[in-house]
Amino acid sequence: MINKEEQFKQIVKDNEERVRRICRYYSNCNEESKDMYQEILINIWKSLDSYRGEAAISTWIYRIAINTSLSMSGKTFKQLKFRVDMDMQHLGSLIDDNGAEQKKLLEKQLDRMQTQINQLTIIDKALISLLLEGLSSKEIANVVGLTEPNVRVKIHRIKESLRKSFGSGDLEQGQTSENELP
Amino acid sequence: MNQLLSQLKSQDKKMWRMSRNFRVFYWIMIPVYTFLLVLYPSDDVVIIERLGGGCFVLSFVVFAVLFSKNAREFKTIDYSQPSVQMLESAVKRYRLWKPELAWALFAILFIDAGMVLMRIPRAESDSLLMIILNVQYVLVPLITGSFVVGIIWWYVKHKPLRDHALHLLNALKE
Repeated sequence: MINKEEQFKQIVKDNEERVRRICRYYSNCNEESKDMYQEILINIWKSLDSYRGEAAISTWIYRIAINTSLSMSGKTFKQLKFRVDMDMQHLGSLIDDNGAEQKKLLEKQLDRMQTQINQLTIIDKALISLLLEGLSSKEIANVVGLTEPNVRVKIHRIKESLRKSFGSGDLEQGQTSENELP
Repeated sequence: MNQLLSQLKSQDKKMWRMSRNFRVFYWIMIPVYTFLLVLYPSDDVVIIERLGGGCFVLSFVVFAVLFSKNAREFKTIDYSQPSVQMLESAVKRYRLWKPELAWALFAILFIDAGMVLMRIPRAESDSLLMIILNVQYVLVPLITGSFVVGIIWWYVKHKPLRDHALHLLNALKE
C-alpha cells in the first residue's frame, strides 16, 4: 500500500513538466511561475485524499491547475501574463491544424498573438491554455465541467475574437481545426 | 520539494489536531454540562432550572454540530472537481444566508428559553413577562451585535470571494 507522501511524489514526478507548462502560460517571470507551481502542488496534496482514479490523472492535474489559477484573486490574475513558448507544438491548433507554412507564419506573429491572448478574459485564457496543451474539446469539457458542444462554441468564439483582433486575412486561410464548429 | 512536503505534512497534522481537540472539547463539555445543569443531585435545584439547563445543553449540541460541519466544509475544498462544480461550491460556501443559520437561530432560542427558565425560581416578585423582557434586554443587543459583526465580516472577507466565483461561473456558463 503506497502512502500519501509517496503517491504525491510520484504524481509530481510524472506530471512536473505538465504543471510547469501550465504555470508558464500565466506567468511572465520565474517568481510568479514558481509561486503558482507551489500553489498547485499544495492543492494536489490537499486533493489527494479525494482522488479515486475515476478521471485520468492528467485530467485531474489539469483540473487542479486550472482551478488553482481561477481561485487566485481577480486582481492578481489580471496581472498574470499568458506566455506561449516558441516551441509549443500545439500553437497551430489555435487557428489551424494543417499546414506547416501557416504554423511558421503563426510563429512569426507570436508576439502579436500573445498580446491578443492577454486581452482575453480569465476563463478564455484557461480554455486556451488547455487547447494549447493539446486537449480535445471532450477533455476540456471534462476539466471545466461544461458540455462538449458548449466548449466547442466557446473555443470557436475565442478563435473568432482572435482572428478579428488580428484583423488580417493571413490567419484565415484553410482553417479546419478539430475544435472548429461544423 | 522536501521542504514543501514537510510544511504540508505539518499543516495536515495541525488541522487534524485542531479538529480532534475541537471534537474532544465538545464531547467532554456536553456531558459535563449535562451533569452540572441537568442531572446534578441537589435539593436547591428545582425542575424548572434543570429544564433551563437542558436548553443550554441542547444549544451547545447544535453549535457543536454546526461548527464541526463548517470546519469540515472549509477543510475539504476539492480543487480536483470540474471548474464549474468547484465555483458553484464556492458560491454556496461564501453566501450570506445558509440553512445552518436557521439552526443557529434555533440554538439561540434555546439559550433564550434556558435563561428565562433558570431565572424563574430566583425572581420572587417579577412576573413571567418581566423575566422574559429582562432576559431580552441582555440577549437582543448581544445577538444583534453579533449579527452585525457577522455581516461586516462576511462583507469584507467572504463577499468578494463569492462575487469573484460568481463572476467566473457566469463567464464560464454564458
